[in-house]
Parts: sequence; C-alpha cells; structure tokens
Amino acid sequence: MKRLTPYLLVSPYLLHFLVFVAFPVGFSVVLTFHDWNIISPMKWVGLANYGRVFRDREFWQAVWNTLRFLVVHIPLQIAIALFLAELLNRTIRGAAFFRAAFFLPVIVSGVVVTILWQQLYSFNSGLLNRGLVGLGLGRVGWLDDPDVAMYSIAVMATWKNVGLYVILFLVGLQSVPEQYYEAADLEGATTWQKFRYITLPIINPTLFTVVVLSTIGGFSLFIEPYIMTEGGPLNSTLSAVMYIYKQAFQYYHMGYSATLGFCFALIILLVVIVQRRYVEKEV
Amino acid sequence: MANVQLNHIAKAYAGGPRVIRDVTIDVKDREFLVLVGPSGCGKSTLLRMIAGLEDITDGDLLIDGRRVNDVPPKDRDIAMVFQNYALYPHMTVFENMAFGLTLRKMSKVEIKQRVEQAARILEIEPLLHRKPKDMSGGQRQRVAIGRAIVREPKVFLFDEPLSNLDAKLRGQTRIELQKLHRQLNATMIYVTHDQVEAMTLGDRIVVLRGGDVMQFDTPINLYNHPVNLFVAGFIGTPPMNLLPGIIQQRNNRLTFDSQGNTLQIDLSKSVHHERLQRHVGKPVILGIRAEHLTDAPTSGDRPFFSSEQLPFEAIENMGNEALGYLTIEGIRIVARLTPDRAATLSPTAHITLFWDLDKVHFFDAETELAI
Amino acid sequence: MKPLRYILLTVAALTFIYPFVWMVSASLSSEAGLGSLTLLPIGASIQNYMTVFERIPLGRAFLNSLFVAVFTTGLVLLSGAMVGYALARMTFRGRDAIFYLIIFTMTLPFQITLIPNYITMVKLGWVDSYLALIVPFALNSLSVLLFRQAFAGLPQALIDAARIDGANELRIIFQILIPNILPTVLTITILTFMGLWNEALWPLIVIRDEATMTMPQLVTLFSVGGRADGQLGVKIAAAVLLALPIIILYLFFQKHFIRSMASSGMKD
Ligand SMILES: Nc1ncnc2c1ncn2[C@@H]1O[C@H](COP(=O)(O)OP(=O)(O)OP(=O)(O)O)[C@@H](O)[C@H]1O
Ligand SMILES: [Mg+2]
Repeated sequence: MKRLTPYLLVSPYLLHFLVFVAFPVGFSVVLTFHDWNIISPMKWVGLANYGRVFRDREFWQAVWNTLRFLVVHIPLQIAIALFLAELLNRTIRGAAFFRAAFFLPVIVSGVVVTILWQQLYSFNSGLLNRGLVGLGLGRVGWLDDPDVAMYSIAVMATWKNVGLYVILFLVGLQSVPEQYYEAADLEGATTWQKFRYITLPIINPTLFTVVVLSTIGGFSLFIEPYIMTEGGPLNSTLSAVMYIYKQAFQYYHMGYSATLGFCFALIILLVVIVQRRYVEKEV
Repeated sequence: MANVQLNHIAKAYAGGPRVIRDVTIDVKDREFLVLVGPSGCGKSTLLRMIAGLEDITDGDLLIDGRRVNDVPPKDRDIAMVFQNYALYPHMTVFENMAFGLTLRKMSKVEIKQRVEQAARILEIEPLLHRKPKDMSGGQRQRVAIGRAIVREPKVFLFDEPLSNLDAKLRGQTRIELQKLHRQLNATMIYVTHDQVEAMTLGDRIVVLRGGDVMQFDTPINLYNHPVNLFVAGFIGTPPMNLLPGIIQQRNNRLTFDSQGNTLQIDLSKSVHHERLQRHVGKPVILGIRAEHLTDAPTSGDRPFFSSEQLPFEAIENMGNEALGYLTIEGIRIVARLTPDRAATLSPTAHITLFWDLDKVHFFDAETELAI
Repeated sequence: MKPLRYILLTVAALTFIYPFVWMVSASLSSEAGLGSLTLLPIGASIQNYMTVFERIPLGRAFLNSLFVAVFTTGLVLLSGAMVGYALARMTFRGRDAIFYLIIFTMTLPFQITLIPNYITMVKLGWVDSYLALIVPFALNSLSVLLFRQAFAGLPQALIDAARIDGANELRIIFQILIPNILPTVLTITILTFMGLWNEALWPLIVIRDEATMTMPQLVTLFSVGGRADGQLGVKIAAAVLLALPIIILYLFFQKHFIRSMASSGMKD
C-alpha cells in the first residue's frame, strides 16, 4: 500500500500523458505516411506527404510569414519589456498601478484584442489612419497592404504580450544586488555600461526564457490573423498554424496536415536551438 | 504502559551506506531515555524509525512486545515533538492540538476537554486561539508539547525540542519536562546533541557515534565509568583531559610516562595498579576530569600526584568555580581551582597541581577502550 | 530623471489602458460615432449589445465558458497538487522519468498533437460535448511543476507531524500543505482560468454545435462570419462582453496575482 501511494498519486498524470501526448505523437507519426479524410479508411502513401511538403508553395509562404512575424515581434517585445521593466524597477510610488496596467492586455482573450485592433487598423475609419489624416499625412493600409499587414499583427501581438515579459524581467532585475550598481557608480560607469555589464549578464537566463517563450508563442500564431485578415491580403498573413488548421479542417487532409505539423515542429526546434546558442554566446 | 525494544536495528537510506548499523536497546516502561551524540551520528534517524517515519532496513522494533516495523505511525500510539515544532502554520493553537484527535474521530466535547486540560498543564490557555506565527519560540514549543500530550500516547518522542530556545528558557523547560514526565507517567525517548540535557533528563542514556551505540547506561555511570575514549571525551563539561603516554615498570614502581616525558606519574599506590600490569610498555591515554586536577590536595587519604609548577595560560573565574587552562606537551589541559585563590592569581601564574589518582581513567591507545 | 520616468511610464500605461476605455465607449456609440478618440460614447445607446444578444446565444456561451473554466481549473488544481506532491516529497522508481516527461510535454509544440487529439475526440464521441473541452485540459504540466516547486520548499517536519497525527497522503496534501502555499495556488488558478477562458482554437476544432460553444469561440465565429453584418460596433460589443468577466476577476485579484506570480518562481 505504502509503496503504491506515489504511483496512485501520479496516475492521473500518466493517464493523461498516454492519451494526450504519447498516443498523439505516435499516431501523428503514423498519420504522416497516410492519406486520410477521417471518414474513409486510411490509405498508405509512404513518404508522399513529406515530398508534398517540399513542393507546397503555400506552406512555405506560411512559414515565411510566421518568421517575418517573429523577426519584428521578438526584438520589439524584448526591447519594450526590458525598457519598461527597467523604468519600473527604480519606481516605488505607483509601481503596482503601472504593473497592473501593463498586464491588462495579457489577461484578455486574443479574440478581444484582435477585434479591438482591427478597428484601430481599419483603412477608412480606424483611429490610426484618422490620426494620420489629421496630421496631413496619407492613409496606410495597415491590414490591406500585403507588405505591411503581418507587421501590423506583430505590433498588436507585442502590445498584447509585453506585460507578461515586463513582469518576468522585473523579477530578474530585482535579483540584481544594489551594491553592484553602487560599486559601478564609484568607478564612474555610465548608465549604458551598467546595463551592459551588470544587468544584462544577471538577467541573461530570464532573457533566454523570454526569447524561447515568445518564440514558441509566436510560432503558434493563429487566432489573430484568422479573425483580422483570414490570412489575406494575398496570403501575406497566412500563418503556419492557420495553414495546418485549414488543411485539416477545411480540406480534411489529415495525413498531410499531421506531416505539416511535424515539419513545422522541426523548424521550431531548429530555431530554438539556434537562439539558444546565440543568446548564450552573446551575453 | 509501554516498553520499546530495538533488536539489531539497522538503517540505510536509499542506495546509501548504513547510517545505523546494529542498535539494540530496550526502553523500559515509563523510562526517560535519551539518545545523545554528535551531529550526524544517526539520532534523528533512529527516532524517526521508532516513530515510523522511516523504514527500518534491518532488525525488529517492538512496542509493548508487538512488532511494529510495518505499522504506520498513526497506529503505533506514539507522539512526537519536533525541533522546529512543526506546528501547522494555518491553524490556531487549538486546531493544532485538536487535529490528531479529530482524525481519530473523537467527539468534539472530549477533544475540547483534552485540549483544555493540556493547555492548563502547559499554561497556554490564553493562547488557544492564536496562530503559531503570533507566538514566541517558547510558547510554540509548549504548543508542540501540548499537541503530543493531548493524544495520550504510550510513547513520547522528542527530537531536540529545546535547541531553538535561548539558554535560560532551555534550563526552565528542562525542569518542566522532568515534571511532565512524572505527571504523565509515560515512556519518553528524547534526542539531543547536548550532553548537559542528556545528563539532567535521562534515566538512562544511549551515546551514539557514527551509527553505533558507544555506551548505554545511567548518567552517573557514563560520567564515572566511560567505557571508551569517545564517551569519556563527550560526556561532562569541561571535557575530560586526555593525555597520551605509556605505562612503564621501573624497579617495582608502575608509572605513567607522558609522551614527551614531562610527567612521570607513580601509580603504585593507586587502584589502577593491578589492571595496568598487562599494559606495561604499551601506549595508553590517561583521562582526568578538571575536578580531579586541582590546586589543593584531595581530602581523605586518596593517593595523589603533584606536578611541578606549571604556567597557566588563562584563568576563568565564575565565582562558584574557577578553571585554569594550561598546555602540557601541546595538549590543552583544564584544571579546577579554588575560586578565592584563583582571584588572587595573575592569569599566567605558576602553580602546583594535584592529581587525584583514584579518579584517573586509562584507555588503551589502540582500541580506545577503557582499561 | 525622475519626472521623465513617470512621464514615460504614464504614456506606456495609457497605451495599454486607453484602447479598452475606447472599446467600451465605442460599443455604446452609434455606428456613426465610431472612430473618434473619445472617452465618452457618442449618441449613447445599448443597441449594439441588444443586437449581439439577438444574433448569437452569448448568455449560453457565457455559462458554458464559466462551467468549463471553473470545473477544469478545479481538476487542474487537484491533479497538479497530487502529482506535484509525489514528485516533490516521495521517492519512487520512475520519478525522474516522469519529471522529464513533463518537461518534454511542455516543450512539445501543440501543432503535433492537435490533429490526433481531435481524432481521439471523434473516436470517443466527445465532439460537441463538454468532455472535449474539459478532459484534455484537466492536467497541465506547468501547474505540476509549480506545485512541485512549492511543495519542495516546505519543511519535512510539517509532513511528519501530520503523518503522526494520523493524516493520509491526500489529507496531508490538501489539508496541511495547500493552505501553506496559497500564493502558488492562486497563481496557478488565475493562469489556468485565464488560459481556459481565452482558449479559442481548440473549441473551434471540437465544437460545432452552437449550444455547447464557449464565449471566445462564439465571438470569433461571429466576427469572422457574416453575422455581424460588418457592423463594427456590434463586434466590439461582443468583444467587451468577452473581456469583461476576466477583467473584473483580474481587478479583483491583481494585487495578489502579480506578487504571487513573482514569488512563486514563474521566472523559470
Ligand atoms: N533522508 C536522508 N537521505 C540520506 N541520508 C540521510 C538522510 N537523512 C539523514 N541522512 C544521513 O544519515 C546520517 C544520520 O543523520 P541524522 O539526521 O540521523 O543525524 P543526527 O544525529 O540527527 O544529527 P543532528 O544532530 O545534526 O540532527 C547522516 O550522515 C545523514 O547525512
Ligand atoms: Mg537530528
């Protein structure tokens, strides 16, 4: 009985893992070698699905779109989060209010944020374009210009998530002992030097966490373009997850969709590994 | 009504070496037994095995003749007081004390009655509705004892319950624990690394070292007849002076020669004469307590040895007793001086010391066992 | 230096708060009044909200969301505490293996498991049922890890004392330990509830029946599909309704939340 107790306690986890992680991963592998529309029986197709991935222009466009999103989203997010955290770190009065304000968009559904920003970005009646017109400038096709749309979404996503990273950085910053800065002050270090040589090395682990979290979050981009642009214009905001979703639930290409999922997961893994080496070396 | 028997108990933590090797102890009914030893010697491990908090690797544990190796703690009819008290922080004192009774499905009325009675004994009645964080260390300590008392167990287990109290409170609580033991008429097993606590509380004491029992006896026997060098050095304050040397036979005289030959103590007239015959020419260690190494000859007609004048390095005079420190052949020695006399001495005075030869101990330098 | 910092912080705070204020005021405006930088609604009316409730069963979706989020959060706390306790305070064969499985699960992109999980739901006949929304989320790796970390920080003597008092493992977990790690419990509760309340992708996949839909799903379909007739005000009203419960909850708990999030080691 006593020996069994720990296993009883972890049994919910094991069961859940088997059904929702182990089985899906295994089944996913099987699916990638099949054609299947759920209704008719599975058909073995060998490596055909994989071959198709390489020739699938639309998929690579979706991956490329996702990367374009990340390239704007991650640096912007880190820069703003660090900046705000640094401002907050030295602030006593009102700190709680500011933190709460920054965190507000984090807790709200992406659906809400997207509907909100859809209005801000609207070509004719959006606040942004009205502002530009008011300043005597021309309108921008925030969501209508294929060269701009994905970046608009990236800015919106940054606005939504940055509060979370402010808090994470703040926790990291607060672990830097005050004496370090005092010592640096005595040696006449500039603000930038203090940041570069004291703050940055100490919050490096946080930085890595933030990069990885926002990469993985960014790669799952779905609901924002789905609502805002439905992937348009000209597929310029079609994200990889959207495309995988479309293959599965609009065309019922289950096998192919699973293959796409696998290939995309591989790409994510690759990006994270590269980031890890880069971040660790850099600081 | 409970005796506790440990038969060849051994313990190894998962994958590790044996930290308790082969311990056999019988604790009599209503006895106050103390487990004492230096840090890491396995006292807590032993106690936790009795409590049922650790598995017993080898041997049998019997409470009242029943083998309880595989009985869970709650069914062993024991209660335990922990070093940091381990009160439930989110419960009031009353709830803390009542928790175990509630789980035993006792009626509310009886619980209330028992808790209040224990609170009365421990004088913590006004605290019953406080949370642990709003109390002093001493008060928490009482609550921890109260939590054990209300259960009315056969055996009480204590793991260094006084070590977080200041010296004064520790002294008071020691006395109260003795009182409590008489009042409750229960078997108590008490762990401490403080030999003063052990000596003052224990009916009998187990001295542990590295997972082995060194000696299991009454306090007075431990003090007067330590069976080995370790017990001799561990029990007593200040610790026993230990001086290595060799037994020599010179024309009918049996002497102890210190290693560097600064001392040659004639033992011919002492009670040790017989026993030491077999150790002639062998290295031994001489042990003598401070109270037997004094600035005046012993009363009565016990043989003594007076050393030549030796320089002191420091004198500590506490009024009721005074201790003088000096070095013999690089070994720190402490002697007891008459306080009045010590007050007149300069801290570096030279003085003649008298060695009470019948109170001297000898240990075999190789086996470390008493001779 | 100091005034500048406060000016910057205030500008930043406004950037995060103002859009929400605008959203509420826009939802109460007539269609013509949209798009101005107002604080107060123009031509105040609750017409937009009336329209929302006419066109979609948002009340029902609210109850669905509430039920699913509350019930699942409860399960997450229950399972997380049990597994976290076993991992933190018990030694048994396979413990480390389970720990690594959890890390693996956390780093596994959901894109891989999405399709098979959908198929599992189909095969179990759970499509269009609450089970599909609850069971897959009933255990969550992050909560297990947070519980594990919190339990590991408690003194062993607390557990020993409870065991001697006669408590079994479940009682130790829920009656003795949990009350002493409330900040962690709060963090997990809020994070889980928030995630569940806002989850839109999974319901879109497994729920087709409007009566079982959750709020984010319904609002998404409403604003993507044609039912809003391109009326922004109506969409925004729906979004306000979706945001409102979580914001109220957040305002209620935010002081504890951010503090406990910082102290319960969300940093790694
Ligand atoms: N859970 C454990 N796992 C492995 N080894 C342990 C464990 N607990 C104790 N030990 C080891 O067992 C030995 C005895 O430990 P124990 O806690 O019983 O000593 P102790 O006499 O109570 O010491 P102290 O006076 O410091 O409390 C030590 O060497 C210790 O390192
Ligand atoms: Mg101990």
